Amino acid sequence: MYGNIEYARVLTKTAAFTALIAIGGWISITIPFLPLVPFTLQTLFLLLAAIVMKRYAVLPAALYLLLGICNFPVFHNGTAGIGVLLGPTGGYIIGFIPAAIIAGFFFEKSWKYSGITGVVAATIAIYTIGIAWLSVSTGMPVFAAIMIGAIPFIPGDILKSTAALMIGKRIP
Amino acid sequence: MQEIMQYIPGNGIFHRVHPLTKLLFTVIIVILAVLTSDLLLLAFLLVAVFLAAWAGGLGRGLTEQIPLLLVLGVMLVLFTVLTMHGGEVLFTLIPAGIPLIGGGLPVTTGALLFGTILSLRFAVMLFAFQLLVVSTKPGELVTTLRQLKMPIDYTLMFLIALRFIPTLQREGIRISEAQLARGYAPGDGMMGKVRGLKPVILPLILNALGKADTLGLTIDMRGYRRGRADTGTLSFGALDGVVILAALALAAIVAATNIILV
Repeated sequence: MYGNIEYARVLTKTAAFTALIAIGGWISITIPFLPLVPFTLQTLFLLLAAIVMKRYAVLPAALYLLLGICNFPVFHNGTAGIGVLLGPTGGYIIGFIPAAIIAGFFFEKSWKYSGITGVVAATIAIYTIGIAWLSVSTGMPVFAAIMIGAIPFIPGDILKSTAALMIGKRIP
Repeated sequence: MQEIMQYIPGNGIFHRVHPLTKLLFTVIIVILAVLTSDLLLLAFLLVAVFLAAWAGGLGRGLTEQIPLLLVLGVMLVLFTVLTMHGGEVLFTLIPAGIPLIGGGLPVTTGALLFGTILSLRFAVMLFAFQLLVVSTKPGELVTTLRQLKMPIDYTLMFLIALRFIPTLQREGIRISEAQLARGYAPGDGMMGKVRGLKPVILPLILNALGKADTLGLTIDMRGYRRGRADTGTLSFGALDGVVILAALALAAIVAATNIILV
């Protein structure tokens, strides 16, 4: 054996989950009347990355952002570039990094409810940063930003979080 | 959804030059695109990159991207119009009669112009990157980045992720077609779309993890991470000089036009 096999696996898993998060962004369902905030499967793959990679989950999130900044069309609907991050929905993408750290932390513990706590905390982290940035960048009042950028997505996020926990149980 | 950023075998100009030359060419184009905010100059850059691609026999791959770019351009303009205000107000998207948010989201000329410039800039950068990725073997890119003394772990991570995107995308399509062939009918509309995703995602993730595992083992066995694998070296030729000179000439033209305009 040459180097550290576990580390090589972390490396390739990072690449795999980065690609999955990017593909999740292309499966984008835009809710009618709300074109500003796209509903994608990215957070599902992000949560799965946290379930599988534990503390290393921050690596795919960061690499995903790096790919996007380098102008590879990996963001939702095939957009790319620093402009998307600075645009109204950029906060949701930047929120992936703290979300991955938080979820990874909780999935590493084996407390009774650590899985659910991790998923909820990660989703709240994405919402907080996303809404804050939506409100700052568009000059929208915080209340309106919550109405547009959080409330319509809560059912979808509950669905995605449940799916992530269920799929996570079936991954060896 | 079409596949993006895949190596296409060929023997054009861009296939024969050193990857470092192409990297330099791309970086120069991207810097020019970022620094230019004039509509005509950006259009000129777009045409120049397109001609370069055509000369290298990669024109077809680029024309395939045009519908995608048009959609992205429209979206970018829309985003800018929604978030930026400047110049004259043409009309407002939300009529003044609606409570709470009425009379909001004005469409302005400044935002329209800025959005067009943004989408042109985006098109130039995407084409430049595509020229680099489409004409360079992933192995050659690894060799080049190693010659530049980049840390091998991050180089591999970056390139494998890029390589995985089209592979996993194709796999997702294949799995969903396999489920359809077995008679899985998720139904129509948005809920049908959501239901249809479930039996696709689990196999997709398990397959991706299996691939990642195998690849990790392979990387380890070949000693890539210790730097023991011999990836060989690549040398420069006369064609490299031509490409770099062309890029520099382009930079000079853009700089000169900028100075004249100012």
